[in-house]
Amino acid sequence: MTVRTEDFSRHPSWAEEGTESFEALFHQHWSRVYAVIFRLVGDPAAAEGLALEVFWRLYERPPKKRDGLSGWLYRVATNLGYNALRAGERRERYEGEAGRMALDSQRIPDPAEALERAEQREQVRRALEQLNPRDAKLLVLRHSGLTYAEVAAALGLAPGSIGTLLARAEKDFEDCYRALQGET
Amino acid sequence: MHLNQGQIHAYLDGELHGADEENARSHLAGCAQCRAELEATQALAGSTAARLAALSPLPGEQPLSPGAARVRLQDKISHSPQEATSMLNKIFSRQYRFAWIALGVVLILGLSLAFPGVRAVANTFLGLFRVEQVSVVSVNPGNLPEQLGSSNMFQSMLTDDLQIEELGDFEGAASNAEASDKAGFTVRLPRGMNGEEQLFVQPATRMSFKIDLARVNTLLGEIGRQDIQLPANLDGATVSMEMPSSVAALYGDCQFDEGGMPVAEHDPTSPNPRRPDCTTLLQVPSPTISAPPGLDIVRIGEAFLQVLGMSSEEAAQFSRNLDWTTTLIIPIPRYGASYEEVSVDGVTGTLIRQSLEDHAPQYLLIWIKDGIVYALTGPGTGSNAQNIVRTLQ
Repeated sequence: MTVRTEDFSRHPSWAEEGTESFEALFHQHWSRVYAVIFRLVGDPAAAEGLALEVFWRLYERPPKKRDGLSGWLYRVATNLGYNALRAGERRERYEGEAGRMALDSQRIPDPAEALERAEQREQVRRALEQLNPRDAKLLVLRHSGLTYAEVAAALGLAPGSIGTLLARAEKDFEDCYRALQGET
Repeated sequence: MHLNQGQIHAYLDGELHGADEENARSHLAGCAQCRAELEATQALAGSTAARLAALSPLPGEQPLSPGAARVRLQDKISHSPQEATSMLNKIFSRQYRFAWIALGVVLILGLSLAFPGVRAVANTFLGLFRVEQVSVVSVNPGNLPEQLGSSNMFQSMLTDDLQIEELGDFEGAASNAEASDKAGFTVRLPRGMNGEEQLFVQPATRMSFKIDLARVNTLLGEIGRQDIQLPANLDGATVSMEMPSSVAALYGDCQFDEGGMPVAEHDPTSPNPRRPDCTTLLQVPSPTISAPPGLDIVRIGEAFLQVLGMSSEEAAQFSRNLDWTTTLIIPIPRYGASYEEVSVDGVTGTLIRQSLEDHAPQYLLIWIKDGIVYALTGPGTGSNAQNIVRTLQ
């Protein structure tokens, strides 16, 4: 009879030698992955859930190619965040955000200010939603502090094209934002 | 030559380096047009940046610290229902359909349709340790708890941290030699079979999970079997199963599903299920299941028999003559199937016949020789089965 006790605590995908350590990736990128997603979804709990989802996917089903894992992380993060932005009920999001801000009296003492900020955020997200998906992701990644090289890796673009694409995306974003302002 | 928009943007962002940056700088110094372009770009970029800054997390919206988040992630990893579902789907679809065939569990006879629960339970408890022999237990379908058939129920029976590792890919093979090479053992095939021969190699699979006794007891309670006692040291035990690479040889009118797997079951909703005229030989080196030392295997085995509908006395009686560490238990219904021991391949095998009124008869012949489990299935009563086995080489 065969009796063995084995340690399966490490996921087989991460047990190989020479692969970038999962722990290092997690500690290095957690906060920024969260911040990228937060910008798109606007809710801390939702952002945390999606950020965990990103790392959970990395843990359970890491990409076969082990170089450029950080690019993979931000690609998945912007995809999840962007999908949530698209799927989110606008009114619900807006009211939830305004309400949460108003409740947090330490941060924003004035309910009117909370409302105004929530409105402002809502308008920015609506403008992002109207851009083509690549441009929206590009802007969010860049304004989350990623370098051109990091943005390029995440979106599968040539690093040399980022400047041009950013300039165009900013133009489109401004147009959308102003058009939305005209509506209200 | 003027700077393009991208170069200007990159220059503003400090993303031009070395000579590129130097060239841009000196060009801008002498080119009013590009300086104007730079200003416009800067204004636009600044405006967008200001608007997007509204989206930044405020002090109350900051992420968890990496350490705290890592703990939460671990929680998610060990309680991941999505993955458990897909893994369970995996187990009970392609992979384990094959495994079940290979293990000779009554699937091909269609009996499993009557007993989805038997399949489920058997998969959890069966054959702790190396399979060396087969024993048939006949059960009364009426005594079998219906709820066991529900996959949700079964899913809850397993713990959250089921892990599965497939050591290779499912693939076809063109010849006996190729199949043997891929599977890593000497494959034997019959000769003179009717119909085209098709060979498939299933990769070796390792599955491991940790038993959550509270969960199992809850489940037993839900099916009204609080009387079944499991050893306390089962809790937290890590059980791992290793299914070596297996080979299926199919002859005749065999159907396949999308994954390329032979369809062994007929449609349970059809009143007159079609029986494909398909003969199948499966072979796999004995699977092993590893569990921590000190588990009371006999009591677990008896609990398994009880779940199948036996009273505790019957289970104890049956269990007395059984070596649980080496025996594969095949549950068959008391009515509609019969079995007998037969001499096959130089060893003693078990021939199970299905003889339900509204089904064409099917047989399953299972035997174990030199550490390989063989299962031959086909239409009819199995009168020809031993002849087929004689042609193996």
